[in-house]
Amino acid sequence: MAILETHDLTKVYPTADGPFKAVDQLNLSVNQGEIFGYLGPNGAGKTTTIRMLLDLIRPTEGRASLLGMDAQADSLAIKRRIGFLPAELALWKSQKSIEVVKYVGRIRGGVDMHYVYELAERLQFDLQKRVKAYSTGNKRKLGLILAMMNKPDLLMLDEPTSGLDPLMQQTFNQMMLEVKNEGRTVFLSSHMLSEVQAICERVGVLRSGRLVAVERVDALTHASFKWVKVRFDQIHNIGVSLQRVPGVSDVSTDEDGRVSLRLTGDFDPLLRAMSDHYVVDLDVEDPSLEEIFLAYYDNQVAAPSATDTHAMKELA
Amino acid sequence: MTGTIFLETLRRSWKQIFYWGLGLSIYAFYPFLVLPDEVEDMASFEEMVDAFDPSMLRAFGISDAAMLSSPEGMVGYSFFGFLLLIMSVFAVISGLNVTSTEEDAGIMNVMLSLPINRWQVVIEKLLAYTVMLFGICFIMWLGLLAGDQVAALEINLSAGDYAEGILNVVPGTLLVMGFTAFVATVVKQRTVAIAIAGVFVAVSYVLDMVGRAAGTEAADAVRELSIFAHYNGSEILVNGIAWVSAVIVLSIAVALGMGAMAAFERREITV
Repeated sequence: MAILETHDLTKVYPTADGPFKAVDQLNLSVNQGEIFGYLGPNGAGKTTTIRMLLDLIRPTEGRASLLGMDAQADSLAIKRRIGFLPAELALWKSQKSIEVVKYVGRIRGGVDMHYVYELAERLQFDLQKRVKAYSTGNKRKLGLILAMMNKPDLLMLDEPTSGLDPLMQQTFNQMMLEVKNEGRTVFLSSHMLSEVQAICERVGVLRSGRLVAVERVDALTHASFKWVKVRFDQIHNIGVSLQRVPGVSDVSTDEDGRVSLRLTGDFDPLLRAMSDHYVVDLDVEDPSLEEIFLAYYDNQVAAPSATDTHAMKELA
Repeated sequence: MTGTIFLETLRRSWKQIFYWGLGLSIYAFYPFLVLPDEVEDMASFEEMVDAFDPSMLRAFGISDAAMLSSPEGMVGYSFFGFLLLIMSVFAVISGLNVTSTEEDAGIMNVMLSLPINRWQVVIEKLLAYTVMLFGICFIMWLGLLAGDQVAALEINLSAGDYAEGILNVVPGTLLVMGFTAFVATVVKQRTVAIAIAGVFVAVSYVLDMVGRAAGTEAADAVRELSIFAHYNGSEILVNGIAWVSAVIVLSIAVALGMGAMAAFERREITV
């Protein structure tokens, strides 16, 4: 059953340079009990989509439904059953977070404070401080508590883990999996695949307002690779030999003798190939989302579908 | 839940009631302290005022110089003459706080993701600021009563007269609040809303002042557009509330509040 659906959802903003399509004919479907990743680079239209779903802004064209109800006409009924964390959480700075929690709880018609304290304990969050005293990560935790405290059927989280330390990200992932196991749904927006790949089953990728792909995460991560930069103590002609290592491609050597390469698959063959040389520095970088998708569609290019071809054009 | 925003706004703002009330009470108290000690001194004061150009006196809401020779007239002019102008500052701040302050800070994103109607946000906040206004008025009234007790001259005013004088400022203040709330839900930027509300109060005050000074029929007609023309604070303790004007101003304030509700329903929350 689809918990979230959009049909040709479009948002156009007038600008000095003419109309700007922030979201362009978005057709999306998220199923009940799913953790869906909504991915795209900054400015792709992720937040605009969420704002339309929440009826904070109105679509220029198209429509959306959440929990089987119209996003605009049934906005109030929908909001009783959702929890939302905005990308940039702003709250009343001079209030203590416990006061904010109680206020939001009263608007919701009541809140289970035992559950609030349980969430705070898991996130290692002190509810007694004033909002202005919190770090970015702690504000994020407060936002998560506010979004989750009414145990919503649908959680809409915009960049939820930005500012959270790795341990807290693990806790967050665990909490999202628990939500999923309870049959509830999570719609999670992010600009990093690595952030969502641990918990999402499917991801939709947005670019310049258009949905360019909806894929299973494992299909994408399988096509994923790393950028590796290695600096040796002496300038060697190792680049040529590294090109023959399984999984290694795009090898280049700069003037300082630093070798850059792209690695798909395991590290072991590469490390063995370098073992005869003294490695001064080794830097491993995740590819950008677009690079991952290009890699994914490169693998699919042998038998491209209409969607794939369209996506590749969009990403190119 | 209905009433939650109303109560929360009051909970967070009770100190403002106290600060505004206390500040204005001190201002209310001051004219009683500077009243001349003797009736003869009041007469000489009247002679001094008589020497002023009548158009200048009219500009400040004094239609008759003799009015200033009475303690009632002095208190009316010194305190009530400028009260609406001062309360307009409160009204503009409150009007902005109805939606604009939280929207500008990004808090409205969270608020409107909760199960609450947009019109409910506007009406509950407007009601909360109206209650605050009455709270401030009550403290001001206590300040006037205290001043009455320490005045050197006998003042022939009852607690009811002072209350009437204070209540006279309510319609105009609510109109400025409603106007600001409405403008803030229509224009995109908060700074533009502040500017429009400020210009509205300033132009309104100047229209009234110039209209009174000119004293012509045409000037009087234009003056009617000013909220200050319907306030007539300087002579409130002598003439009492002009109820028809008060009801008209109050009706416009309610209409503006309803306009703010309608405009906020359609508003795109873009911050």
